[in-house]
Amino acid sequence: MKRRKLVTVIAVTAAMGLALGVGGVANARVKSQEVRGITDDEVLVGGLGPSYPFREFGGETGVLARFEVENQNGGVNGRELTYVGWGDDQNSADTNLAEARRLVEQEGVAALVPVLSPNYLSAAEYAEQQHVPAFGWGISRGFCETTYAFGFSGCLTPPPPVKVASNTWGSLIDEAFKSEGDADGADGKTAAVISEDNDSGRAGKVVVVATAEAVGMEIVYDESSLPPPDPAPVTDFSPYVTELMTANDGEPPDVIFLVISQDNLQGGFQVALNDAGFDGIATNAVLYSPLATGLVTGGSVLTQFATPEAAADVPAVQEFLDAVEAVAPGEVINQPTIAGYVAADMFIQALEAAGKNPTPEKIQKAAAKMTYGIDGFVGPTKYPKGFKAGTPCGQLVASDGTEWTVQVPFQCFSNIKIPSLKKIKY
Amino acid sequence: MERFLNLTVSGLVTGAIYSIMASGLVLTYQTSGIFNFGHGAVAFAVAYFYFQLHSGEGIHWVPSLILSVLVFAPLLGLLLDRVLMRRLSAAPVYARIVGTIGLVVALPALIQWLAEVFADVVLGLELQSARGLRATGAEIPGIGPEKREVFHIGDIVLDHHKLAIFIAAALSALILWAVLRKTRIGLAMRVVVDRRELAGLRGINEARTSQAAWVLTMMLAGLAGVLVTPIFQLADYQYTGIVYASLFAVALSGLRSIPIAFAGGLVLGVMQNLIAGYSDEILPDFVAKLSGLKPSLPLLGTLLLLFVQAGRVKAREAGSVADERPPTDYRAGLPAWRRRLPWIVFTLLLAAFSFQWFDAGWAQADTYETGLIAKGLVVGVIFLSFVVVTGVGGMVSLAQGTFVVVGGFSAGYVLEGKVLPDWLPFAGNGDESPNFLWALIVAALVAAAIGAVISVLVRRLGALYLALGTLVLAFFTHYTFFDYEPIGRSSLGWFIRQPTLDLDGVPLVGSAVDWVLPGPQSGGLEFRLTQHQVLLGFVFFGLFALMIHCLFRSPTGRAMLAVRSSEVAARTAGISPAKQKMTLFALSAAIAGVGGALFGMINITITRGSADPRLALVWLTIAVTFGIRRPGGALLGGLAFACSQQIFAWLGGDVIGGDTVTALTTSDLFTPILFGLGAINLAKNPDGLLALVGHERAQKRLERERKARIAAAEADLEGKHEEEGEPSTARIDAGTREGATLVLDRIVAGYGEVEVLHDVSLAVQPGEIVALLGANGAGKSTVCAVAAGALTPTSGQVLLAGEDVTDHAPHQRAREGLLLVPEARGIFPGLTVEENLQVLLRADEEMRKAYERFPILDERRHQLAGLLSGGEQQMLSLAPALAQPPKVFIADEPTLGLAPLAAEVVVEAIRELKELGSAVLLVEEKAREVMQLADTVAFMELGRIVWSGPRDEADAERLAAAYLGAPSA
Repeated sequence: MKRRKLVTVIAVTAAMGLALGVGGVANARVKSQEVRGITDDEVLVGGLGPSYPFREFGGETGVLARFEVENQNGGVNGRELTYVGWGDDQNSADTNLAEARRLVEQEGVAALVPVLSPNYLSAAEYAEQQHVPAFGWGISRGFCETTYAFGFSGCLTPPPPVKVASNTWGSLIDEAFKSEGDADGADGKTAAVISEDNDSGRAGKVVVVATAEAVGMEIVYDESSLPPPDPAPVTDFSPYVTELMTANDGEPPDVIFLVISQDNLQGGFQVALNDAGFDGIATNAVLYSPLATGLVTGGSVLTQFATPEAAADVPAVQEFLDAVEAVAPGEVINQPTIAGYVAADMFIQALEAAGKNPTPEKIQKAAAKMTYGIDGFVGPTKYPKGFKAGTPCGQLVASDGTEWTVQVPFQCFSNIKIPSLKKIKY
Repeated sequence: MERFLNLTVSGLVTGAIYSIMASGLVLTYQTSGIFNFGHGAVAFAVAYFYFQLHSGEGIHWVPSLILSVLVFAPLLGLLLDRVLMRRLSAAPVYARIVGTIGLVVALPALIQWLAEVFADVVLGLELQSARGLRATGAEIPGIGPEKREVFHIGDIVLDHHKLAIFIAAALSALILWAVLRKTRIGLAMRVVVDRRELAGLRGINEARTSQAAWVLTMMLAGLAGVLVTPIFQLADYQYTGIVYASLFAVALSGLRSIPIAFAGGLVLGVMQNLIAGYSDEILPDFVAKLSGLKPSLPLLGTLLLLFVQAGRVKAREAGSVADERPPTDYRAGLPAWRRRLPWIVFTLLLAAFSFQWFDAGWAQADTYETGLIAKGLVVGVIFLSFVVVTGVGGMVSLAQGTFVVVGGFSAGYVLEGKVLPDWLPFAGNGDESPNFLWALIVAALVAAAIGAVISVLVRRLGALYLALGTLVLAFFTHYTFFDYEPIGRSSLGWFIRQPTLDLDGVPLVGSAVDWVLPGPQSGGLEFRLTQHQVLLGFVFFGLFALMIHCLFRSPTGRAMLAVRSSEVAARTAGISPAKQKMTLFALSAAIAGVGGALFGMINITITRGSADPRLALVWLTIAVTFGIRRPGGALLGGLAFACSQQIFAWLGGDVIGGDTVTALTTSDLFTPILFGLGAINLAKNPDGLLALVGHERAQKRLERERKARIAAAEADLEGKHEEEGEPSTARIDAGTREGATLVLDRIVAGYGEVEVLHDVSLAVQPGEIVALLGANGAGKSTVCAVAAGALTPTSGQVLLAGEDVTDHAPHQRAREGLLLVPEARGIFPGLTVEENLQVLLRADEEMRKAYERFPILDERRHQLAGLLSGGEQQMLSLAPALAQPPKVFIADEPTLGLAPLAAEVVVEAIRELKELGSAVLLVEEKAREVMQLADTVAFMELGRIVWSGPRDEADAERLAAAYLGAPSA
């Protein structure tokens, strides 16, 4: 009896609490100030994206590391950079919007830094209306459809029909062959491209096929045949592995492009390929991570920036590692760490360019015409071109099962037109 | 050929995962009547525990496995049984379905929260985080050595994980078969499945048996969970997703046969591989290229199987649908205004808060809060669709999310302009965009149409199959139609940008806005302003709530409720259940569609992910938590969904205070736990939290009334005894109390509020046959039920061999030596003759005696009892009594429906029982047989024994009076 009553009381109180709106929520940091998020002493920003993996695996550390370096040197034009917190969008575009609203309306941030999310869509529209610039990884449409979102690698998911794409991946494979002593590079090699059987898989595959053909590869397999990991995961990769292993007239191709999601990779697609005896180049663009060496044994991963393995050759990478060590000693460096760091770096550059009395609008104006990059590490990304296209730069890392090594150092290539394509075939 | 073989063998091995899942699902359903959607969640929980032991604490995999599967899993099973399953068995059908959906939502979140948040914040333990590990791409190991062992069988490559799964599946199939076929507990499980009510009367503790079956399933699920970790990598949605995939095998088995479910899993695995390998060659191009179709083909197969099976099950389900009694309305006595007042006050307060009517700072909602309220109202509209289809119609539709998405897409399509015909006013084919009203109307119409189509497909399915069918359809639509770029617009979805509601020349909208909101307004509805969104939300919620209210009271509404109570009866009243269901579905879909358009408006875009099937499940759990029969529940549910995180942040941070509570409640895992638990709460309160309002007062009132009834009955008895001058303790209407084996003393009993027996007393001596005669409805069967324990008397005592057994359960009395052969034969039709005997007879000696006494049974030892003739079945029910004579034997119309020769055999057997010393209570229609058999005869009339005495004193006149119902002499 008592328990039931308590439950009722809680339910009704919660509802009434809403109606009466007592205090706490309303008393949050809403400064009815002239410039949202910017005072004479500080600039406020907040992060946005799915907590797993982006916040939990370095997104926050990256931005904090970069801000710490800047703040130690007196901030930007005398203003300290303050990161107020992360909005977890729980992998939903709607929650992404809700969290963006919270950061802007409740926390009063001047900008969203970093935005590491595939779900930055309606929030981007909202941000554009509310004049909130965002700096992050261009893996959502928001970076390609609005003028207030800036990606350190530009816009990586342009809307269909895709007419222009970067030829980074193919070129890196080309370089990989050359670095092993094969003077022809990728020219004349056979390639298979497999993606998941859904819309984004098909769209992604088109681009990859173009980039492979651009360096002279012959496409012997081009299918969106792998079931997506929803609602039920793929339990048996063998049919697909068999198809790939016999794609080149009964023989395996030289290169296999895996345009698949992390779930399927973690479920063991690369492992299945290895089991079947594949010894060519199997490459994906997703699963670089210190702990993933086992899952991607023998594979090559495309990353959009240089990774810690390149520290010996690229001073900027070492600087990055030092900065992270200063705020989070011993923490493992993952892609989100790097992404958070460079997004923060890009924001700082735009903030500086916005002058002594910055406003969110001025920051946006400055970012919309700047070129951002760190030599050998990330970029250069030119805006306003970056609103429409991705930066054709990248690095190839390889795993031998226990550690990563840089297979092809970070470098830039070019964008190519995708010729025969008006619309994606269905 | 080789390729075919490779694909098949590989498919068989991986199909084993589905087999284990499907077998467990069917076993639970068969032994408890509950389809456990949360089976995968259980597998995840055990796998997670294993992960903490093995990966987290570094314990070797063998002890980790043993602890997880043989200790943790059964304990978890016992806990869930106590908290959930036991209560769900008695709950209405829809509560059983939604209750286990609550498990899907709550259990993975709970166990992760306990390990990652609670342990850290409260206990200070830093346990390994599985999703953290997964997110970094690290491999989460399963059983066996760290290093993968790989085996080559011809061209097929298998690693030790896959082999382990296959072996485990085969082993569990074997163990299940052995347990069910060869052990007593297995026999008990099958008995409970076959005829639950009879099982108790045969000495089987159904609660204990269900518990045992449940624990067994849990262990199997746990084993499966641990084994598939290398593939699923502890992604909780994959564990719950595998249940949906396994539906194919479950549907194939018709939810009855475990071996077929097992085989079905293997078939599914093979089918998936064959589709992957051959579909490009077999299917026409345009089909093969349809995005997402190939992996979804098994879903189509599941749907087909569900229809086929539903057709077969229908006959049996027809009867059980009739017991959908409406819940007690605790507010029934209150006047209308008193019931409405709290809601009116609440709405006004909410409006005042959102529209900033009052000047105080704390009473004004800022933009952010207003935005949340707007979202809550819109989600409330979506929940209203649940009220219609589940609350009114009693159907659990898991496809409501589909209608939301359809509505949103339609609205987006209309708003792009140039779509509507020119002659429509405000069609917006010029420069301005179409009026939002059109978008809403189109959204409603399109969604209703799709709802009607779906209802045509599913309306003939019974409750559970309808839920499963709509779930499968929802997934299918999500992964095929909505993934098709022209329909779903891929990740961006449809935009609902700056719609306008202004109607030129109709100042209604502007006036409304001016009137409601303080301060100068722009004269129209600005959808970007959250306050305007709230206004719109109120308007539409109010509109639909009013519509539902009118629906309830209209003839259509009454027809729908009639269909829900009993389809069979409704049909005889000229109502077409199919048509009613379709109307209901279409209406609920229309509401969901409008909700979808509004949802798209406040979220700027609507994608297929805005309301995917999994989110729709979460919505359902929230909606039922508050109460799905009333619009008020939808309102609270919607607000809860939109604002829960904020409320908990506030409660934890500002009200209770302290970092600990804040950390605990603001974890993203916390709200799913609450929502899931809310759904599980359904087991106790099938009508949600709202129905509890006034509950206590009503409970007290009912208790008072019950006590008054008992007191009145007892006073009545006392009065009568004083009148008749007999000491109340010694009175027995029929038979003598001294040395009697069975005594019923002053029994007052009834069903609910209807009293059937008004003070009945009788006693049966060992070796005596007491015959109870009377017209239909006199209460003879009720007397048998009270004696056997199937019905608890309101007052009075039952004594068995001198011991008071009034509060003993039927299975206890059966074990104490009371055997009841009920009216419709006391056998289990789904078991063989031998198995039927084994239920009561344990020793070989006793079995032999039974076969000797009835040789015909010996001939038919291995036949299903349901196939025997009436006489043979009655012999079967009597045989155990003759082999092991019970203390008390009660037969309710034992010769009913039997041919004369068969009846004679039965009479003989009963005489023999008497000679063996049993006390026999006989209820019989055929007076002639009774007169031969009985020692004492008692006549019952209207719940009282009006005459009793030795057989010789019973005469024709009395008999006639008893049967024709004339008042006794």
